Amino acid sequence: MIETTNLSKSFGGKTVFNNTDITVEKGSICGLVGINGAGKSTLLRILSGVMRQDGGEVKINGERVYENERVKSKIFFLPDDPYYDTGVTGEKLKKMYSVFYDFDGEIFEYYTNKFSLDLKRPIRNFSKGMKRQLFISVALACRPEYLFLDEAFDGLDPLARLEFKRGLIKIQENGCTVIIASHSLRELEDICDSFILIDETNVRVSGNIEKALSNIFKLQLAFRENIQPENLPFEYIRAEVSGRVITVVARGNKAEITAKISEMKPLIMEEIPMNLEDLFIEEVQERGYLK
Amino acid sequence: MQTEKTSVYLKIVNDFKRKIDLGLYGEGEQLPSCRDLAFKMGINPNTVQRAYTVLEEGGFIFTQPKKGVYVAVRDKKRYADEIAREKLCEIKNSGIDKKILIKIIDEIWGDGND
Repeated sequence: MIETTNLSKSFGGKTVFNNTDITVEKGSICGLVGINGAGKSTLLRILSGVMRQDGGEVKINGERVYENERVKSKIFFLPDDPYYDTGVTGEKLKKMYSVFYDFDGEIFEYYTNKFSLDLKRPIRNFSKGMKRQLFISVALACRPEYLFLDEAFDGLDPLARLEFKRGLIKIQENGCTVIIASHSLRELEDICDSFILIDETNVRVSGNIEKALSNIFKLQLAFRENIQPENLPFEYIRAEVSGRVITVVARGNKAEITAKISEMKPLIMEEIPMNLEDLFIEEVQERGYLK
Repeated sequence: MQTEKTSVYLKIVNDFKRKIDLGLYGEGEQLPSCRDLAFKMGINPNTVQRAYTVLEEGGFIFTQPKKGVYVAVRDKKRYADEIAREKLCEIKNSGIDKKILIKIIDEIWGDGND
């Protein structure tokens, strides 16, 4: 299990985390989402012990992470832009990672074959997507207990994405806990069972994706009379009026609210399904982002 | 490709409902295991499991422990009830008067004989 309590971190006077509590259950594939600059990469760096927090605790398997080699050997952190020496090839990378991790050469071969990567070619000649594929192959071959991925789907073509998601399912079966920071919310919704949405200084919503989606809903309404959103008998997050049609986003007990609307005898009452992307947009708009 | 805008597990539920209704999966036919389907689609196995649970609760499929998931033999009458209930809820929400609705039903059935 991954746990932070009262996590705080600031850079040059800007607070990124302020008393933030995060829990990720063991064996979960968790999507980390947030607007640009919300602190996704910072959180992954702190969780993998690359960066030290200003305050609070960060524990993995109940142990502190920072400067703890034993815990860190169970973690694989794949940054947005992983470092490699000039001239390094896939083969050399394999040797380097074999020193620190329980590297499985067969898994490495399986994925590098799938991705058709030439392991004798210097990485610097690889395209962005190929570099990504190579480092993903390394990450999966290291068989970590905790895998942290930053902008994991960036630059990957649709087939590589699918292969990568399959790889994640396989390591999850072996008990690996995964956190993926990404803006590809569609991919995250496929592969993740939980999520963390962070805003300026804290966690905004987190937990099971389905549960969070069942707590927020969008309705399209139209009435015979001229009814404005302000006249609706429930609290809503956002409402849009287009002609006679009111589109309203609300949170809470859907059955109760739709019953109240039914009493008003609407001409139209239709629920519009929401996905993780809609949830994200509603949550960050509520905070006044990009208005 | 424009994908249907709904949550992943509902997409799986609706997809199987449609395929079962169309007879693409016959009664008693085995469905892919949760893990196999998840792996094939690149979807979290928990999500597939949730979809299967919903389908099982809806009487579309049944699980034989350690064997697999199969398409259920469905009680057509019970299913008809469900459809009627669903549609009537929609109709009720439109704000129609109950007496008028009953009149319409009688008209459709023809003189209220059947």
